[in-house]
Amino acid sequence: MSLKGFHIFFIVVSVVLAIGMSVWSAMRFSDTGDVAAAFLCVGSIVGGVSLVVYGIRIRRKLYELGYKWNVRNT
Amino acid sequence: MEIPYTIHPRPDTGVYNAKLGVWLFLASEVMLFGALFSSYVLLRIGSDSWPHGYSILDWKIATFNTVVLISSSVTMVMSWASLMLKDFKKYKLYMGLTILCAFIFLAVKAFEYNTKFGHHLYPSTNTFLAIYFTITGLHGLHVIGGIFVNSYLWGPGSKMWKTQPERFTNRVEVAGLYWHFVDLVWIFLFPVLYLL
Repeated sequence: MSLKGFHIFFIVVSVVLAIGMSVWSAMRFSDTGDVAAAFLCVGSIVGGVSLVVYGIRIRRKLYELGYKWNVRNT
Repeated sequence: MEIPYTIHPRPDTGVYNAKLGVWLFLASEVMLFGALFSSYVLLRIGSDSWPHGYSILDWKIATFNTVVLISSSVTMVMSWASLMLKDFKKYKLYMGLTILCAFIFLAVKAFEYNTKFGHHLYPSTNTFLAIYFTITGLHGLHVIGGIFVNSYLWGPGSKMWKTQPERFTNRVEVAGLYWHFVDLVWIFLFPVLYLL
């Protein structure tokens, strides 16, 4: 697996973490009323959505880059 | 004599030699951290009472560190992509940012350890803290290792760009694979130790 493949995998795992964090922080907020947990919940959702958008864009760019690199080196 | 397969893939493996080497190394690392994770699970299910990580550890600081490490992975891949685009200045910038993120992570970790020691919480205090310090300490050593490799590629090692740009690009890719692995370990560590 190349760095681009591993990076996409890493972003997917990070998105899963963001989803898990948002669920955990929502549960913590409802149990304890901790305001920091509410901020984390919102931050995790925003971060997760940002990572999905980034992942789609970087995947396309890295594959275009790989194609150009292969053409130049063959 | 020239070392073979440093740039082009070896026909029988399908990858250049450094990439094969780093994946073999990462396989051994998976076994190392896998054994520690297994120890954690066995200790936890075998214990009558196990503290929740968030009741002892500072999950807010750890969340900040998680964002720092994810950002460092992004800058790492950007540095490699910059080399593929033949933009050496951008490579220096992104690799420098990656190293900076690693230092920030370590500084925050040192602060966190210092706070724990200030509250007389040591590895000998209980089993949870013993495994916490063992796993995060080992992970911290891997971050330090990454700083050494990335700093070499940012500083003296970057001279190779002038003589063998393709080989240098491959070196950065290999370092990036290692760095992503270190970050991936933290992605698993963070919820297991701090949130559950």
